[in-house]
Parts: sequence; structure tokens; C-alpha cells
Amino acid sequence: MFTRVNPNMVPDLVAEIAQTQQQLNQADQEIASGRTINQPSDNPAGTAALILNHAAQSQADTFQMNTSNLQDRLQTADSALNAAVTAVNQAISLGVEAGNSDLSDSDRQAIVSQLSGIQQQLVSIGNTSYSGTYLFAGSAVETQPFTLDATAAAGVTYNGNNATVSAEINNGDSVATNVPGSQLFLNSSGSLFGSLQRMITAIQSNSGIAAASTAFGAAATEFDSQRVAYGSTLTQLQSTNTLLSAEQTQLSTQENTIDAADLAQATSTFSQASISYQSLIEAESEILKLPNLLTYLQ
Amino acid sequence: MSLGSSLSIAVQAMLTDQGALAVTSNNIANVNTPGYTREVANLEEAPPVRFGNQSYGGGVELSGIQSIRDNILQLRLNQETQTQGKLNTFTNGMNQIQTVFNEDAGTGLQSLLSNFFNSFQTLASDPTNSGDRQAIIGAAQSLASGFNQTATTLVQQQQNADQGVVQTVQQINQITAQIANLNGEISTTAGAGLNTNSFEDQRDQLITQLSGLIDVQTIPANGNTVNLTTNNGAQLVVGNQSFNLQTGANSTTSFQDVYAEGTDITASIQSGTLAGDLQLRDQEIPQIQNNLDTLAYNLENSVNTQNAAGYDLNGSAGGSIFAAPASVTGAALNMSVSITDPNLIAASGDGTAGSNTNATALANLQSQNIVSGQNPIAYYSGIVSQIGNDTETASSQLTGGNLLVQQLNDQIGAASGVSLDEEGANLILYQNAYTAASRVASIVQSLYQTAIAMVGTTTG
Repeated sequence: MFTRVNPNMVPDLVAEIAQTQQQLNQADQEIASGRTINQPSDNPAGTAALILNHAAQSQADTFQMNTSNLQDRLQTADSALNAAVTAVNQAISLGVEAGNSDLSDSDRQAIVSQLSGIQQQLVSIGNTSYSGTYLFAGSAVETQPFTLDATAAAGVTYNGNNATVSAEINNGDSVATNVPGSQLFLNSSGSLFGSLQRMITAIQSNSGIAAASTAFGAAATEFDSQRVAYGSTLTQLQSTNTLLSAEQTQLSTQENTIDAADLAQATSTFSQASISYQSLIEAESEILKLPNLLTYLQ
Repeated sequence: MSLGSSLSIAVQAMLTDQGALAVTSNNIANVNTPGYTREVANLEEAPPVRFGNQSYGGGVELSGIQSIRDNILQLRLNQETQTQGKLNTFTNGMNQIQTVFNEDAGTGLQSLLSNFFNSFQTLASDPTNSGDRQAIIGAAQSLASGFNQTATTLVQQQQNADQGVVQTVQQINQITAQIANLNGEISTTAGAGLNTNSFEDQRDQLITQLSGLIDVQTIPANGNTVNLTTNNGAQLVVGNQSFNLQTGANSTTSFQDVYAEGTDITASIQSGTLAGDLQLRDQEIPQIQNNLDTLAYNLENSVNTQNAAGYDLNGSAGGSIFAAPASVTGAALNMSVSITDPNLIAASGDGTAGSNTNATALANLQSQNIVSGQNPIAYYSGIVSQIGNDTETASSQLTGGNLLVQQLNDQIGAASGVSLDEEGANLILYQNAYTAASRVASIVQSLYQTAIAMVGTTTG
């Protein structure tokens, strides 16, 4: 008793060849794209993870670009305030000199002239702009913050506001991106413009020069302590930059873990499938040529 | 026992062998005919004849031509073919849908969503920057476009499935008509006592073909006919009569419903290509559309609400960025940007030009749970992985099903397939038997001549 088998072997062979071809195509796709996930059905959970990963990378890229732009902006502010410190130191020297009782009226007038020049310089620095907006106007960035005003007690009018603006530089991480001009130059604990004007007036009237000088010195110290914020923010931005780079590397690695094709394996699979395909084709052609009993009957 | 009996036995043997040779020849001719079941000549000893005190064998006769058919295997094949038909159609449809959710291929909404939200983040670091503001509008328009196109593709796929339903129903009707016809032929032929093998082969082929299109129950009836109904009992073929399925537009969806004798059977079709198209059109795609619409609807509303909470560059309270969606349904297809003036982006939290708190809030919507308890990107990833899952599941079931069909075909072939070796051997057998019988006839003829010669004519 024997088991009869399907005399027609062709459909099975055809099916096997089709299956091998599919393996070939799959391996080929992986090699060509370098990825194991070439459509969602290749790895549904991996596809979801990949979407989240790409979104995170995109966000990190944006944060990094923004941080870089902020660095430029704050660097400009910091440099401007550095120039202000130079001018302020000059004013301090002039104030000391003016306290010398040997000076003539015209000598004192000369000093007042120089101090007025420094006052204008400081106004100009206070009005520094970057990319079309004022750096020291609080959040009123389209309004010029300082104007010389002979009628004002401090010699200037402040047209900005007292707001501090924060910017997000990474997930859950913000920095203050400005110190308001009022806080820098017109601080209630020591007003730079206010005490400068007082010194000018004192020298002009030759009265209370020493006290005015001392007050200006104190205001200069206050100014110095206010402007430090820019330097420390710049430092924070730099380290955030570094952190973001590290995050991007990590996200990149994660992406590869999810999606990168193992090229060695894919190539090997491709080779095997190729050989298999070749063998099947050869086998099929041999089988189709096999004679049957009828061919021998004469 | 007479010479005549021997002669007639020999002649009958020759006729029988001729018949068996004809069967063999038919098998060989049909070696490649799809659905052909091999025939076997049943040779039986003819009833014995009494002659005097002896009982002599009556020779051989061809009692029938039997086709080797396994009805159980055929039934199983039909069942698996139904499942295969449904999965095949469904998988093909899903593969096409996948192509619009493929980030790697440049389609898909993730990069558009990310760009949109991140463009607010960029503005937040420089709120008056007109280039950044314009970029937001550009990103919003790209996002709306992406939603529109994805939604349009889904509608197109639905329409394709709908057309598939109409075409399949037409095919079904053609096949049931043919089957009914064959039932009639079989009934008539069997009634006349003739062999119905070839009609049955054709009918089995058609039933298998029909199984690929719709779920089919086979009920054997009298006269060797077969009645067909759907799994739910809708009649397809009764005897020599076939019952056409009809399609008619649904009043709500305007897609084609399927009717059998006036009853709407659309929801009760379980298998075959028809079920595959219906599942795509009526269940899978609507679910994807609903999810996409939910995402669009909630995103638009949240963005609009947040923008309205801030102040634009003119110092006025913010308005809407997207055209307010009328309802969840259609939100993706109709998504559009309602502003062109970049100044209307409400970046400011208090009306001052340099304030950025509202721009930051807008950017951070991407991580807020504003869509059914998830953030928009996570929700979108859920949509895509669901599509991937459904496709992958159907695809691997199809692979298994194909294997099963292949195995069943092998088993059917083992029982019913023509082996040229076997038929070759049979040719030799019957040829030799025929030759031997003709030798007997020839010898009987010479015996007759001897007997006649014995009686002879005498010339007187």
C-alpha cells in the first residue's frame, strides 16, 4: 500500500519560488534603505517609537537653534554693557578730579562737558538694538527706551517697561533673556543716570561734588551687579548647548536601535535567498523536463 | 458452453477494454485541466451463466466510470478559499493605505506636526521677528495640506473598495448563473442514467471560485444537484435557478449596500473578497478617518483657543489661526488656515511686543494632552501603529491561509490528480488485454471454420 502524492508539483514549486522572491525583496529593501522599518506593518510598535523619536529630535534641533540665536543676542548686550563700564570708570575719574579745590570755573566746565559726553554715550548704549529690537527696553522692544531729557531729574526719560522676558531653551528649562533698562541704569538702589546727572549739577554749581562722586561710585557698583546676569546667562546657554548636543546623540542612537538595518545580516539573508532562488529555478526546470512513462512507450 | 458464448465474451472484453482505454485517454488529455478529477474505469466480472450443470463466468464488463473526488477536502478548500479571499483583499487595501502614513517615504504627518509646533518655539526667542512669524503661517498651511491629502486618500480608498463591491457582486451573479445551469445539466444527465463527472468537475471549480468572493454554504440536494446559500442563509443557487445579488446606494453614506431578494445583507457577509472590501469600506477606513478627524479637530481648537489667549503684534487680542472646524467629522479633510497676516500670531502674553509667553504656550501644546487624553504627536503615533498592526496581522494570517490552501490543493491533487505514469501503465494494461481478447476472437473464428469444415459440403 502506498500513499499517492500530487502528481502536479508545479504549484508548490511556484509558491516556494514566490516566497523566496519575497525574502529577496525584503532583504533588498533593507540594504537599499539601511532601515528595517520600511512601512508601518514591518514593525508597528517600532514605527510608533520612531515617530516619537523623530519629534524629539526635531524639538531638540529647534532648541539648539534658538539657544544659538539667544547667545548672539545676549553677547551683543553683554558687549554693550562692557563698553558702558569703560565709560562709567572714566566718569568716576572725572568726578574725583572735579573734587580738587584748585580747579578754575573753566576747568570744571570742561569736566562737565566731558561728563555730558559720557551721559550721551550711556544713552546710546542704553538704546542698543539687535535684529531690529531694543535690548534694554524690558518687553517693549519696539520702543526706544532712553531719551535725553533736560527737564527730568535723572537727565533721561525711560520709555521702556520693567518686564523680564524668559525663553525656553530646553524641555522644562528657561532663562531670563534680558535685564530691563530701568533696572540697569535707573535702579532705585543706585541710579546710574540719576547719580551722573547729580554729579554734573554739583560740578556745575561747585557744591556737593564729593558727595555726588561717592553716590556715583555706589551707583556704578550697583550697575555692575545688575549686568552680571548677562554673563551668567551666557554661561548657562553654553552648557545647554552642550547638553542639547548630547541629547541629540542619544536620540540618534535610540533611532538606530529601533530602525537601523543590520547590514551584515541583511546581506547574508539576501545571499542565502539568492542561492535558494537559483536552486529552486534550476530544480523546477529539471522537474519539468522529467520524462514519464508515456514518453517511453512506443 | 458454446463457441458463440466465448466469442461474445471476447468481444465484450474488447469493448470493455476500449471503454477503459477511452477513460485513460480522457485522463491523459485532461492532465492540465484545472479542477479535473481523474476517472477510473470500474471493471467487474459479468454475472455467471448457467449452462447445463456448469456455471461459466460471463466475462468482464464496464460497470461504471468513477471520478475520484474527495468531497470533504473540497469543502475544506472552499472554506479556506473564503478566508483567503477576504484577507487578500483586506491586506491589499491596507498596504495602499499604509503608504500615506510612511514617514520614511516622506509622507506622514509627524514632521509637519513637529515643524508647526516648533515654529512657535522659534518665534518665542524673538517674538517680533517677521520671518519667524511668516514661517509659522507656512508651517500651518503645510500641516493643513497634509491633513487634507491624507483624508482625501482615505476617501479614495473607500471609493475603491466600494467599486470592488459592485464588481464582485457582478462576478458572483455570473458564477451562480453558471452553477445553476450546471445543476440543470447534471440533473438531466443523471436522470438519463449518464455520467455527470465532467459537469461536476466544472461545478466544483465554480463553487471554489465563488468561495473566494463570498461566504458559501454547500447543501447537496436531490438529483446530484447542489444548493448554495451564504453563511447567513441568503439564497444563491437552488437547483437550476440562481438568485442575483443586487447593489443599491445607502441613503446615509451613498456607498453600495448588498441586497439578496430585497433584503439588505451587507452586514451579514462574513467572508470572501466581498467581505474584505466591506470591512475596509465600512469599518477599518471609517475608524482611521475618525481618529484623524479627532486629531485635527482638537488640534485646531486648542491652537485657536491658545492664540486667542494672547496678543498679536498690533497689541490686539489674538484670533483664530485655523478656520474653526464645524464638527469632528470632516475636520481633517476641511482643515485650513484662516490668517495670512503674520502679525496676527498672538505671541505676547500681555500686549507688549517683546513678550513671548503665549508663543511658548502654543509651542508646548505639542506635549499637552489635548487629544483624547494624549498629546497630539503620541496620538498620531497611535494611529499609525494601529494601521501597521492591522496590516501586519492580516498579512500574516494570509500567509498562513495561503499555506493551508496549498496543502489542501496538494491533498486534492494526491487523490484526484492525473499521473501520466499511472495512465501510461494503464494504457499498456488495457492495450494488452484488448490484444489478448482479439486473439481469442481470432482463435474462436478459426475454431468456427474447423467446425464448419467438419460438417462440410459433400459432393454427391
